Amino acid sequence: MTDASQASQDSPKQTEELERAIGGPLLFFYVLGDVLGSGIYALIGVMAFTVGGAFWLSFVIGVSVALLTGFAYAELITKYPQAAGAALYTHKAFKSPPVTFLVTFCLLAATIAAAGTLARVFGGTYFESITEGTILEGMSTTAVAIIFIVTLSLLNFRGISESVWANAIMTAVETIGLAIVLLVGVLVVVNGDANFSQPFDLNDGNPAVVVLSGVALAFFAMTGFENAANIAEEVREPSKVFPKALLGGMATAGVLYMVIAFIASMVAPIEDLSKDGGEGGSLLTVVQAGPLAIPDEIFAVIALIAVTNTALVSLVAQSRIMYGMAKQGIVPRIFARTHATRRTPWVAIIFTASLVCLLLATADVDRLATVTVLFLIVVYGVVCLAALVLRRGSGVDHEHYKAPTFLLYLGVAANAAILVYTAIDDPGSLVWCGGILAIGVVMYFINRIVMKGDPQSIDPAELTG
Amino acid sequence: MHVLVATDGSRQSHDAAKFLRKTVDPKSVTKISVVAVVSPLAAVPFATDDDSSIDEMSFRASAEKAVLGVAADFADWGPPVSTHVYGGSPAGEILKAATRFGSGLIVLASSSTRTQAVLMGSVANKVLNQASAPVLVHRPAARKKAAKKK
Repeated sequence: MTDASQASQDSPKQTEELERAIGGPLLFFYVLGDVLGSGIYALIGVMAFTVGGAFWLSFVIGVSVALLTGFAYAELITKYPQAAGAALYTHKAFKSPPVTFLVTFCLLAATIAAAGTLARVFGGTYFESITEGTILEGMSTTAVAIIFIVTLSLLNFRGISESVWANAIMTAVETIGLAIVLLVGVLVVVNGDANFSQPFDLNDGNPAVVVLSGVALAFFAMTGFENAANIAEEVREPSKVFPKALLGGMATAGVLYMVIAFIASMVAPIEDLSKDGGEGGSLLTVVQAGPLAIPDEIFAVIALIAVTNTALVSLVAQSRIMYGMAKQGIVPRIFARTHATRRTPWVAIIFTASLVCLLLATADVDRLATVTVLFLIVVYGVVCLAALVLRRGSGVDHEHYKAPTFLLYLGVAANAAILVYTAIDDPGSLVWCGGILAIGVVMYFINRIVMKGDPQSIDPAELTG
Repeated sequence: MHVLVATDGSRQSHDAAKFLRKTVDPKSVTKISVVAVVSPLAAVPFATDDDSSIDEMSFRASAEKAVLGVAADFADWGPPVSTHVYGGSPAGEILKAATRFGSGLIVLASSSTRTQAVLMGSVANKVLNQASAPVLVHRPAARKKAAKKK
């Protein structure tokens, strides 16, 4: 870190050099950690169930669409390096408080549904395999998931202030887990035990439609990268560092996903992977089917750490978005209340955690993941559009990354296509989305009545998310 | 002696600064560094009591405003004042900065109760236990309520 106190004088002086904590490699690990935990550990069974052995193909499409959005984020984060993310870009591009509110609320809803998904995954097969034979055996997934959310929320209330190094260590653990699966893959191929036909099998139906039906889930696996905007203010030389670290992190995660998905399909029988509608299959199934004698418990603990890491980031992100919205007066002010000594937004934490618990108690992993994706796709599409709209303005007075224009157009189109397809494929999810959105709209109008009219001006820098 | 004054933007940290000014001889202070720490991963990276400037606020901007506010408490006192904003874990960054500056005194405020400090940890507690320099922890004055009871 640099020292800003070289010059001294008799009166207080302006802070001349802000010491920033995060450089390129740390940012890369932050993105990688956020993206990795949410996906492959969580959803591999459900994807195998939905698509069949060739579910890695869904990853190819999901990862590509997410990368397109990544380009838009890279441009916008370097253009406006503030911790507000999507809310800031929407506000700058469309200058309409209701639109900004809607996008911010979609992001909030997505992180709430994502936390619910991850909590259910936590309480699923991984948890069962470490509690076998203990008094915790047989606990219902929902109960474990709720305890998980309450515990993480208490941690969030206590305050998460560790440096991003803690995140880097968690990421290392997640990567070790994936390295084990890679090793299993290599050994299976070397031993000649690999099933090379299963990775090319699809469930019955039109092949294109079957592959597409897994895209929403694959897309869920890529989410999390947008959290990088939260730490934009803390990154050194963001214009230089962000595009490489963000896109590099996403691409690395994406390639890893495809390879791991292929290996899973090559190693484990599809019946095991897609057991219980997919909730019974996981990467643990793959490790068990492989030749390595790794105790189930060890791999399960690695997976639980991966899921916990991402769930915690989601919980922190949602209380942060809520706090930002309340500070701006677009949801009731009570949500901005911080605890006197902990300085954490306890009202926002209780409210969002309750919503997560309500969701996870009423829906399964597949449904929750789809709801997450539907909300996120709206946000991602708008962000791609905002990047294009903001090209027309006067620009900013510093150098920033500029994404290839056609990729941004492609991003808008691809996000819109997945949104439409997912809504048609799983119309039931729209009920959940509508319900969550209704809560937001009610809050918006109650607040308007209380505040007597539109908030005067939204400062999106406060709408972190 | 170099003095490090930490602030989280709260009124209490102003009280701590004023207490320092009242009790310490300015001639014994060679320099004051006012430090605030932004925690990028926290739910609220920098909470401040100041609500007036929502329109132009970012967490870094709040932290800058907080250090400049406390620095202003030392205006015309004598010793030169510098301000610093760091990113990371508050206690850790305060301790690192104190070592780097060679501080002879660390000043900060705390309003945690003992139970809170034991159960959940507090920045002041951590700094107090790990600092290699003397630490001045300013506690808020007893509540008026208690006085009213009689």
